[in-house]
Amino acid sequence: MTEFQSTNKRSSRGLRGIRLLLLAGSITVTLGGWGALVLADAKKVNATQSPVVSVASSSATTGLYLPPIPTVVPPPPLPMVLGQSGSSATTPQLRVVQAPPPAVAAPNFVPTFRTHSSK
Amino acid sequence: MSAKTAVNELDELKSSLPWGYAVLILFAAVVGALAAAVILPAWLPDVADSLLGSAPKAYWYLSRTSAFVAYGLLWVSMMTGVIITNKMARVWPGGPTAYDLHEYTSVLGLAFALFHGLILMGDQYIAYTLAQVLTPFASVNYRAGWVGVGQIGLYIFGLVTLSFYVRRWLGYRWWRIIHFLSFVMFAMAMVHGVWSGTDTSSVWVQAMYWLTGGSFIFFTLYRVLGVKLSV
Repeated sequence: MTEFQSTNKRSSRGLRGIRLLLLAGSITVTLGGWGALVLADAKKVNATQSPVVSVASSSATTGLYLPPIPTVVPPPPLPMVLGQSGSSATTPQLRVVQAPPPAVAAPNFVPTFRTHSSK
Repeated sequence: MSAKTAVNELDELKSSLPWGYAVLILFAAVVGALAAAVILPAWLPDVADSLLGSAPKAYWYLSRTSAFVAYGLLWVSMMTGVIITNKMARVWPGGPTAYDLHEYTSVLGLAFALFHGLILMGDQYIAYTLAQVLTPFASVNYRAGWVGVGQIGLYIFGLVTLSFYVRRWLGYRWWRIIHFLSFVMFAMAMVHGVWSGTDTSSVWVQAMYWLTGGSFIFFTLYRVLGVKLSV
């Protein structure tokens, strides 16, 4: 009987435990690694996820503001000077307002662009 | 005791892991992967959705983690194989224990490597078919060259593991030739992991590759030099 064979029987009992440990360890590492990768991926997704932009519809109604309509009021009566004839009543003088000078035509604006090649 | 004597005594050892047990482990890995990747989504889509969420990355994650486990087991198998023949196993953990670990981690590593490949059929992004998983270089969806290297490595892994159980019929010479292929296979597995793995850029993965590759080269050189010196 060789050295290998004599020790073979002795150590074979403990080998079952080692085998079981290896099998359990391998499965644990595989599934644990899978779980770790899934968790890491979930964290990455949460970190890079853009904040939810809520487009809130404005509750304010678009109101149209209208200024008060001017009311047509009859002009006040002309002042009467007592003791004078009615013809001397002051009548408003018409003023001739000079017409504004004709508008000057706007000069033609031709934009010029400087390019690198025009330097 | 020289390295050659150690190998001869190794021949006298019977396979410590029964054939049926090895087949059961491999069968469980294959059935588990197919059930998770094919049967579960097809038969129970609601259950699959609730388990895996809306993101289809679950299968990809399972493939990645099982790949690391398979690589780790392969490394243990290679290391125990090397220390058996360079006599370091006599110091720790003992010849028979090292041999048992060598064989068991080989079968278990092969099971996880099979799971690693088959579970990818569930991934919607890569969308491998069974034929693409089993045929080297058949898929062009994802780093076809490096994936193909891994696929060939898987077949060599299967061949080397099978050689444990057919050693009597093979004969020592052929068994040794097939076992020498395991050095090539380990290199292929590492290359496959480095160049097709998405985790290679992380520090701890790089450290793992340096540690496993470096230690394997060291113990292999120790063995080769030991054999030469003894001769």
